[in-house]
Amino acid sequence: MTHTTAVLLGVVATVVLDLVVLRTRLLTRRSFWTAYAIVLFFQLVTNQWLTARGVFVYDPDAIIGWRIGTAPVEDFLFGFALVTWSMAWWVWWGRRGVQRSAPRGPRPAVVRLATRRRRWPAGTTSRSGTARR
Amino acid sequence: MQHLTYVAMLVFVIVATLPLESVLRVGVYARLRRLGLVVLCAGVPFVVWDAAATRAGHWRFDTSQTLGLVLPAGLPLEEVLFFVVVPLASVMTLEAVRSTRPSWPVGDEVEAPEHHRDLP
Repeated sequence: MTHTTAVLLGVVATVVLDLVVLRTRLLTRRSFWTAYAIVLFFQLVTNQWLTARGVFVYDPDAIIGWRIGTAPVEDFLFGFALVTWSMAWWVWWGRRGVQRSAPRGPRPAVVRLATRRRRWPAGTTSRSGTARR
Repeated sequence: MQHLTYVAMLVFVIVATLPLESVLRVGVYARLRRLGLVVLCAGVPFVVWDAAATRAGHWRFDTSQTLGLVLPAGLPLEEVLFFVVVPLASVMTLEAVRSTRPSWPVGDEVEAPEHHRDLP
């Protein structure tokens, strides 16, 4: 089996895991695709770093040869599978009640300052004259 | 410096996602049990896949760009850590989206409408 075949099977397995086995249905959610788009951007950067320097050396016979930058296109399908598996299991364990919500600890002062609410109450018109979004 | 090429990428991913824990309060480091189960259920199968593909000769690693520790599976230490770091970053990103868009369901909400068990 080539790497190309393996990643295509990996993508199919991922879809089945999410929609049928775990029924997390992440692939139908805007939250998932937004998160995946962010991860994909960083995958482009980090995979370029690794493949351009030849940390991974691919057997030309194992891949189809299409590349995004210096990274074989297969890497992106592999990444899609890994990222989706990770998120799907996270959601699934949360559903099962394993640490569903994060414990509410005190917030660091610097974070309180950075995320401080505006002074005018919600629903009122701000100084710039725009109604609340 | 060359032997730090791979580990630098892992450090970058950890450092880049770390602020999410405090700024957006994603609470992934605060939920290590759940994270550990993700690594077990998602990371481990991919390590097995990776080791099999490496053994089949689909690719090899330039060990001059790694720290030099090769694990029994035939994978450099960094390659195994990759399957811890990437699930961690993935989950943190999903939680970051939830933090900024609380109205977008992720699927583990208490009142998730599609969450019902079918009878066996």
